[in-house]
Amino acid sequence: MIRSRARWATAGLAVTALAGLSACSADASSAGAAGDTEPAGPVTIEVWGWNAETGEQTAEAFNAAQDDVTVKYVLQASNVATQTNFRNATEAGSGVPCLVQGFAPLTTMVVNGWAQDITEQVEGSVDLYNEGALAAAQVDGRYYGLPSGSDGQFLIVNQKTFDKYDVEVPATWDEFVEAGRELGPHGVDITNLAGEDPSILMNLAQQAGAEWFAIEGDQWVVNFTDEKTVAAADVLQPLIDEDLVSNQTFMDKPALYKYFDSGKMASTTTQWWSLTGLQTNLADSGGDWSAHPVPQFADATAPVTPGRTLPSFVPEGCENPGAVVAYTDWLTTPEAIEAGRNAETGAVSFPVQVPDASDYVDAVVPEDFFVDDKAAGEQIVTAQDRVIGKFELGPNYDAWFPELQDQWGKAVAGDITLQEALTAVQEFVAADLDDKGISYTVTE
Amino acid sequence: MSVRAQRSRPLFGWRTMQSLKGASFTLPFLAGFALFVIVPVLMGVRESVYTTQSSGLGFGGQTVEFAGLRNFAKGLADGAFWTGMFRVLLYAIVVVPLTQALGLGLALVLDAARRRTAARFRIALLLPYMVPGIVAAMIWIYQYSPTVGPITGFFALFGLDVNFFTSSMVWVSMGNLAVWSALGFTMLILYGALQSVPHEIFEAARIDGASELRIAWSIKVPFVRGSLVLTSLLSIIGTLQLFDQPVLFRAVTPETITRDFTPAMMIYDQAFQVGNLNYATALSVILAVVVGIASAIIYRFMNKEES
Amino acid sequence: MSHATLEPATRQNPPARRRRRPVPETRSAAEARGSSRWVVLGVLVALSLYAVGPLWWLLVAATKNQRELYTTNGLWFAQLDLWANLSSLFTYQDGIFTRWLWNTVLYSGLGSLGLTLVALAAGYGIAKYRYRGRGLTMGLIIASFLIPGSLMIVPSFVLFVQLGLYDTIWAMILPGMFGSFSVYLAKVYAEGAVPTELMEAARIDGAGEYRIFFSMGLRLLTTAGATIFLLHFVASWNAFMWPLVFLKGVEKWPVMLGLYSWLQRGTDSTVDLTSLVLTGSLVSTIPMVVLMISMQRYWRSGVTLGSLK
Repeated sequence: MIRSRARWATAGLAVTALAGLSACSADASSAGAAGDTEPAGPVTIEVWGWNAETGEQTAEAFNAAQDDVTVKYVLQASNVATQTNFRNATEAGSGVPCLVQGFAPLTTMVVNGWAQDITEQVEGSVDLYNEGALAAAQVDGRYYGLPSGSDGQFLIVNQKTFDKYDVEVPATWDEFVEAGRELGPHGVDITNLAGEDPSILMNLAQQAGAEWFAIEGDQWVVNFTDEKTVAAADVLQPLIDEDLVSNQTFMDKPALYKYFDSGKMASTTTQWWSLTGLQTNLADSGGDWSAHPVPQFADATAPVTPGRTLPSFVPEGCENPGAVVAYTDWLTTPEAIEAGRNAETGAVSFPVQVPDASDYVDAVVPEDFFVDDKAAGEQIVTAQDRVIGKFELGPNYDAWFPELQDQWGKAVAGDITLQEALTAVQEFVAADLDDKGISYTVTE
Repeated sequence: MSVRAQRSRPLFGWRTMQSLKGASFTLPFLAGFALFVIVPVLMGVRESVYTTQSSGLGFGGQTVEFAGLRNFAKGLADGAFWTGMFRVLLYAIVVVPLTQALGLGLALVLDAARRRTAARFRIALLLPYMVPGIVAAMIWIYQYSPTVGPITGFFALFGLDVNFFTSSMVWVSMGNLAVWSALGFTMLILYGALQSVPHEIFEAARIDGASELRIAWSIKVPFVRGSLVLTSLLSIIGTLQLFDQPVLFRAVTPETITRDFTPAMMIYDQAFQVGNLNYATALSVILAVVVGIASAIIYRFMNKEES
Repeated sequence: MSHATLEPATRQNPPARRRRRPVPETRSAAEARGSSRWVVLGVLVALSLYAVGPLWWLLVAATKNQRELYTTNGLWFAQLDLWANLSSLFTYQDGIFTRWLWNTVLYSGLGSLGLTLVALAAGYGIAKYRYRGRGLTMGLIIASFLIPGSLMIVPSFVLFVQLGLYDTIWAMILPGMFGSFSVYLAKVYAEGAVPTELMEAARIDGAGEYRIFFSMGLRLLTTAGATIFLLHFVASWNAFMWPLVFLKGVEKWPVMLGLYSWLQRGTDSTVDLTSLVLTGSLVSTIPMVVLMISMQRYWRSGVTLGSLK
C-alpha cells in the first residue's frame, strides 16, 4: 500500500524537488502582496518534503534569487513519515509548515481540514502549468492543492520478444488481450499483475472515463460498477482467467527483475521515473525495449493517458499562501529546474507540471535501454501531454484503498471476479461513509 | 528462617523504615513511568469513549461526541476482529512454546559449554537480534524467494516442491521469521539468569552424583523460572499483537493476508487508514484485555508449578 | 563482610566444601563433562548456523553495487565494491551517516545507562523488600506490557510538545529510561542473584540500605545490568519510529531513521539507495558487536558468593 501511494507521490515530488534559481522576482513580490499586509522583511515559509538529494539546494537557490520569501526546507524521512509528522503537528496545533509535499490524495487533505483553499493565489499563474496539473489541484472546482504534474503512463514492450513471435504491438486494449493470447502459447506473459498493487485497475478505470466518486450538490455519488469501470475490468479479467499474466510481487526484487529481464514478460506500463531503475536492473534485455502509448479503449474519442498525483498543499494555518505560490511558480522556471540538478547523477528532474517538458526529456531516457532513444523520448513527452491528472478518489480513500487491495489480491489469484471485487469495494465505501456521517448515493 | 531474622522481628519501627527505604528504590522508576507511560495511556484511552462524525461532503470539519461504551459494544460484536484474534491465538499456541523451549535449551547448552566457546557462540546467536527489522525482512525474502532463494532449491534436491510464498506456507514463513528474530533475545535473558545463580549449587549437586540432564532440569530450570515467565509473557503478548510479519507477507500473499488479518493489523487499519481513532482505541483496549487474560493464565500456570 | 560471604555458602554446600575462592577460571561449575560436551558443541554449531547463515546474504550484498544487487547470485560475491560502497556511505548527503552514528551512540548510550540504573534500583527494591504497594507496582509493570505501541504515539507527542521535550535529545533519552520490561527483568535477576542472608549480614555489620545496594547489590547484579543494558542498547539502536515522530531535523536523526529514509527513496524516485542501506546496516551493527564483545566479562559465569570479597 505504501508503494502505490508513494508511486503517485512522484509528481508532488517533482514540484518540491525541482531546484532552481533566480528570476521571477516579479512573481515573488506580487505574491507577497497577495497577503493583506506587505511584510517588512522577507516572509519565511517552512517546506516539508522528502527529497534528500535536491530539496534543500533548490530552496537555497530560490532564497538567493529574490528577497521577498525565504524558504526553509525541512527534510522528512519518507512520505509516510511526512504524514505522521503532519498529523501530529496539526493535533498539537504547533509547528505546522506552509507547504507540504503531497502524501495522500487531495480530497483526503480537504476532508481532514488540512489543505486551505488557495484558489485566489493560484488563479493568477495558471499559464505556467499544464492542464493535467491544474485539474489535479482542484476539488469541486476550487484549488486546494498546488498545480502538480502527474506521471503519464506509457507502455514499454520487449521488442525482441514481440519480433521473435511476430506479434504486433497493441494500440488498443482489445489488441492487448489478443497479443496476450498470441504470446501465451510461447510461454510469454503479456504483462505482470502484482497481487498487492491494484493501481493498473485504477489506471484503466481512469482512462476509460469512469467516475468512482463525483460531487452532486451536497452529496457524493459513488459508482464503482458503471460501464466504464466494467470496460476496464473486462480488459484484465480474460488475462487472469486464461492465465496470460504473471503475479510477481514487487517485494521480491531479484526475482522480479530476473523475470522482467528474461524476455518472458512482453510488456508493462510504466512512467518516466521508473526507467533508471529498470535500466539498472535489467542487465540482459537492455536495448530490447521500445516505448509506446498506453493502449486506448476502442471507443475513445481522443487518446488519453492515465496518471494521477498527490498534489502538494498549503496547510490551514499558514498565513502566507501567496509566498508559497510564488515559490512553486518559480519552480517551473528553467533556472529553477537547473538549480535542481542532482550533484551525484548530474541529471535534472523531469518537470511534469509545465506545459512543455520536451526540453528535459533527454535526461529521462536512460542509455542502452531502448531500441530507439529518440522515439522513446517522444513517447514520454506525448504521455505527459495527454495525461488526465484528475481521478476523484472521494472523501475516504485511505479507508477503502486497503479493501481494494484485499479484493484485488483475491481477484488476481482467481478466487473471485473483478466485478465481484469492485462490488465489494463499493459496499465497503458505502458502509464507511455511513459510519462517518458523510452524505452519498450509490448509482445503480 | 535464620536465627538472625527472628531476632530482628521485635524491632518493628526499624522494619518499617527498612520497608520504606526499600520502596524508595522504585521511586525514580515510578515517577518516570507515571509521566511517560501512564499519562499518555490515559490520554489515549480517553479517545475510546468518543466518536467523531462528519456531515455533508465531509469538508466542513468534524464533530466529536461522547459515545459511552458504544465503540466497545461494536468491537465485541465485530466478526473480523474476533476471527483475527482466533487466528493469532492458534498461532501463539504453536510459536510461543517453540521459541521458549528453543531459547531455554540454547541457554542451557550455552551454560554447559566452555566459557570461551560460550562467549563466541553468544555473539553469533545474538546477531539476528541486532539486525534491524527492515533488513531482516529483506534477508528472509531473499532466502524464501521461490525463484532466486536457496531454500526452495535445497528442498528440490529431495524432490520436494516447497514455496514459502504460497498461502498454505505463510504461517510457517512468518513463524520461522519470528523464531529467528527472537531466539537471541530469549537466549540472552535466560542465559543471564543462569549466570546470576551462584554456581556452588551445581557443584554440590554434581558431587551428589546428579547427571548433567538432571542438574539442568531439576536445578537450573527452576532457578530461571522467573525469567522464563517473563520471556513467555513477552512472547505471548508479542504474538497476540502480531503485526510486522503479516504486513510483510501481505504483499506476497494478498489473497490470504487481508488488512484485518490480525487484531493489531485491524487496529492499525482503523486508526491510520479508516481514520477512526476512537474505534481503534477501543479495539486496542479489548485486545489488551484479551492479551492480559492470556498472560494471567500463563503466569498462574507457570508459577503454580513452582510451588 | 568476610563473615557475610561465608554464610550462604555454608548453607548451600556441605560444610566440607567451604570455599573462599571462586571455582577455577578454566572450568565453570556449570560446564558439561565428558561426551555430553560434544552434544553441546553440536547443538551450538547447528543453531549458530541457523542464526548466522541468513546473514551471509547481507554480507555479500554489502559488497555489491546497485546494479549487481538484484541481478547477480545473492549468495556469492560479484565485483567487490565494498570499498566504493563504504566511501559513498560516508560521503552521501555530505557525509551525514557519520553524524547519524554519533547521534545514535549518544542516544542509545545515555538512554541505556540511565535505564539500567533506574531498572536495577527498582527491580532490587521490588525483589528484596516487602512493602505496601509492591503488588500494585508489579501489576502496573505487567499491565504496561499489554499496551500496544501505536496507541502511545499521538498522546506522547502532544505531551512532549507541552513539556518542551519535542525535537530535543531528551525526547530520545528520557522516555526510554523507564522501561517496565527492564524493571521486571532486574527483579527476577535480583531474586536469584542477591541472597537475603547476605543483606541481613551486612545490616548486622551496620550498613544502611542504600549502602548495601550500592556496595553489594549492584555488584551482584552485574550480569543483570549488562543484559538490560545490552538489550535496550540494541533495541534503541534499531529504533526508527520514535525518532521519526519526535525529532525534526535530519542532523538529529539516529542511524536507523536515516537508513529507513534512504530505503524509502527507492520506492518513489529515480534514486535507489538500497545497496547503500545494506552497507549501512552492516556498518551499523559493528558498534553493537563491539559493545557485546567488550561486555563479555559481565556474563562470566560464577558470580560466586566468594567473589564479593
